[in-house]
Amino acid sequence: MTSESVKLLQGSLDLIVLRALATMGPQHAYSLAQRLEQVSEHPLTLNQGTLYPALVRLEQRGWIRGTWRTTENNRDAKYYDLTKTGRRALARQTARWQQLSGLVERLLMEPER
Amino acid sequence: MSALRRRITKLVVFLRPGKAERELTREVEAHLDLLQERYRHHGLAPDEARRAARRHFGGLDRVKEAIRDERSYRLLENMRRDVGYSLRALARTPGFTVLAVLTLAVGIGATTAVVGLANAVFFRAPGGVADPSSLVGVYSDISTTPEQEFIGFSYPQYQELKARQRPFTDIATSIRSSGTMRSKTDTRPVSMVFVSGNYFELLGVQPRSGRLPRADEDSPAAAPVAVMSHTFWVEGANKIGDTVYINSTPVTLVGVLPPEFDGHRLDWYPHPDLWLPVNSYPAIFSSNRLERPDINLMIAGRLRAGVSLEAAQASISPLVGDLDLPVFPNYQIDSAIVRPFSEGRLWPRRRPALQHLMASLMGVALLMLLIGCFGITNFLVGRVMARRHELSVRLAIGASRLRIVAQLLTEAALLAVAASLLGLWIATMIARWVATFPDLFGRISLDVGPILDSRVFFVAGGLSIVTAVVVGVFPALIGLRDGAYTSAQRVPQGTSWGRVLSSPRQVFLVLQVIMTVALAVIASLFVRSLARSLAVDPGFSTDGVVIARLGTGHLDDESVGQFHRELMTRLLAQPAVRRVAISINDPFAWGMALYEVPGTDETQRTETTFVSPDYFELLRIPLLSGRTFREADGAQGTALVINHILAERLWPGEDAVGRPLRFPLLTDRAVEIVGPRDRTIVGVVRVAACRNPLDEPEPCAWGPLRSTQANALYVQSSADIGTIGQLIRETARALDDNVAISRIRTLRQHVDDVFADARMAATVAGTIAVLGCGLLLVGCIALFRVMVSERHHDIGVRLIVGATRGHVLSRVVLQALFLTAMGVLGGELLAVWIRPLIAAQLVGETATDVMPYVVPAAMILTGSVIASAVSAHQALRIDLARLFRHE
Repeated sequence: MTSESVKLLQGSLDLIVLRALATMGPQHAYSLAQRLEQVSEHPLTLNQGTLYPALVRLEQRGWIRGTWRTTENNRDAKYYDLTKTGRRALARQTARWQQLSGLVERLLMEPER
Repeated sequence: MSALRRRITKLVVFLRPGKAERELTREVEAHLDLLQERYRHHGLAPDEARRAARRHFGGLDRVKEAIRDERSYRLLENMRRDVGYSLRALARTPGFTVLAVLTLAVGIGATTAVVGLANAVFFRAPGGVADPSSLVGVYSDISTTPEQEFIGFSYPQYQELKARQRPFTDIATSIRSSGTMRSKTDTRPVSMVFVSGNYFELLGVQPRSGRLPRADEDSPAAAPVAVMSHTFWVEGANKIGDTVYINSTPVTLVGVLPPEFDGHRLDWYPHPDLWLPVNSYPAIFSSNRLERPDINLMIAGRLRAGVSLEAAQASISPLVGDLDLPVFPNYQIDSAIVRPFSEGRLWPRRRPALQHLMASLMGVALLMLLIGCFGITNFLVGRVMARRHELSVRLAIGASRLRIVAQLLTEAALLAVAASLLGLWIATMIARWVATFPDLFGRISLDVGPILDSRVFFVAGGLSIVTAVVVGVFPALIGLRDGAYTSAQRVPQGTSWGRVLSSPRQVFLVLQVIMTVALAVIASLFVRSLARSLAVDPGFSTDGVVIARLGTGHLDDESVGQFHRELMTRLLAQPAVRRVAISINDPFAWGMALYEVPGTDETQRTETTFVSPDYFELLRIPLLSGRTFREADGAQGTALVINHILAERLWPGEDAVGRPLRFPLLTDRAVEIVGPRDRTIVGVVRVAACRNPLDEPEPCAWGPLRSTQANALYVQSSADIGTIGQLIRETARALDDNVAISRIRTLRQHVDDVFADARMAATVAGTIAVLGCGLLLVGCIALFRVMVSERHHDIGVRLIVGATRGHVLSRVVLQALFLTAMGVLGGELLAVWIRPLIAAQLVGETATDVMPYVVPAAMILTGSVIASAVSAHQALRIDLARLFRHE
């Protein structure tokens, strides 16, 4: 993955995390990272640690809430869940993303002169 | 909403980072455990699984940094870390820290104090008055002198102006005077202001308790009342409703003024004790002086809305020109001067002398600060050089240059902040100390109350920032440059022998020497100038002379002359007393008079006072020609003694004795005297400066003391001050119980008091200058040692290829000497270039005075030789085998 694509990914990371939590329910950082690797189809190119800044950001905004629970394997883990405001934010962000990506796509489709 | 919430959370995390940090560690550990488990499932051994997990997670520290960035305010976190680091670094070298803070604090404190005093004296409106910006002082001017004169008005003139003026909502008048007050508890001198009935209303001053004089009490028929200053009320035993006797006249105390109002003028110490209606002036002083044309009433006015100073001046000038002055036909008042109240705290003619003093003190204070800054910069540079290995490692592992610079600047900023806080305290102390000098230049008090206001805080803050930058930037840049070489390499070694200024450090050294020498030269110029001006001979002998202040306000002109003669006769009859004299003012507290230049219609100014016959003999003032006063001169009143400056000015190369001199107006601000206008010069004496020995030589004239109020009693005796003081008190009391004798001290003490502040300033400035230059010198020496120590490798090579130790030693010393000499030359040139810019502040300095230039140069050249020789000697003892083991 080039550094440019990493930047692009980080920009949309918040949206991806929100979306993943919305579809999968409460998750800890490790399973979120795995989910991300599945989606990106390049499991070893993503450093899992890069997820954390996004989690901190979202939690401080009040969009997700972290609580300590025990996993099925009886381990301590911090589970993140979408909050009400997080759901609303996801809807807003999704709409904005679609708008933006549509625009970018149209611009990119224009033939070069 | 979410943005706000985030900001709050960030702040909480910044304030209490521990919890978030612990949680982060816990979460990351759990994450790594899960990853490790996954790799074990893939069949890796536990160790390998752990390593793979860490790899997959990403650089742990980098991730944590990224999280910290996201979690809180990076800038604040960094600052906290820098401050913590710097505090620890400063605590490791407590000696340097204390010295640096003290040096900077004294520099900042002195500068702030001068700024604060200048601000209070020159720009600040008096406290306790309403809307001071629309208040003005009104003076009259005469056209026959080149300078503006700022003369006051007589009472009839004031009344006429008040009736006819348009630009002001109203004008009020005031006049200072002192008298003797007898109360239930004691008899003491009292300082008074006589004010018109509308004075307090015009100024917008309200009483703190009791009441102010009513308008109908400002009448010659009314029984005198007075309102007390807050200090007088607090410190004395007098209450509202008490009756005191001022110059034997009963005065009822009716109120107390608020503490912030201490009169609107600073001249004429002490601050006023009592305010009385101006029409009770005749009742307090026996002769009806209010109607006399030579009385000098000050006028204050409040500008109407929308009227400018210039417009007011233009509007009132013709009125002032029209005023009748029947007594002085040759003395033409022809215009008015209107000045803002904030400038009116001092009689405007006193401003230049005070401005000069403030400018000098400011120069010294700033220089102190600058020298302190450079000394500390030097120290910090040395410290940064010692840390270059650490810095290079940090740069190598990815610390940003900005972070390194910020960290190095933090140390300087901490020093500056600590120094500023201490400096504010020092400034307050200096101001309080200056306030204890009652007689600056004879009559000005700088007791201005608290000097710190928003303007002064602003200046102090600015000084702190500038100090931090001056002190911190250079070490930071040096640190960055040195740190930029990776740790694998040594910092480049000096360079080849013989080539000078080939490395940045050599350039830095030369710059350092230039600054050191230039500052040291300027500092010694200043200190010598101050010291010289203070060593100035007051122009008379103080040996065995005791001076006391006479309070005889209750006596009229006839009886006061009688009292003076009787007092002098009785004192002289005492065996211990050799001579006695009286003059109308204290030494240096002179009056001003205008004389007509013979053969022209011009008038010029001279310092003037009036003295009893034995005055010149008592003070051993050298008589150049003619004679001094005799008893008969007092009755006749036409004799005049002048100093050689005036004689030389009027009749260069000729004998002045026997020549006439005409005074259109002969008066003194303190004690009004109208003597004969036509005088004959009977003697010429040698006194260079009368009002202020620090000033340029000035013309002075003495008239014979007639029957008039006089302040200063001089007694020359062989007895000690206690005995003679007792003698003066008893003799005066035996003559008249109402006479107040105060401030008995030796004449030497009086002279010292008048100039003690400036002398002390010179001492402090000198100490700081020496300290600062010492710091700089130590810094330069440290730099030499660093440079030589970097040469160890080079020196080793030379020794191996056969150079003798003597040869190496002489090369090192010669090169240091050469670099220093370049710096010294540059510094001297810089000082020579700066000198004309500060020449106006240097008293009695001659361009041929070479000592201030030679001493710093000699000191630093000697220092460089010793430092380089010692360092080279150490370098020559190095173990060659160890030095080259790694090659």
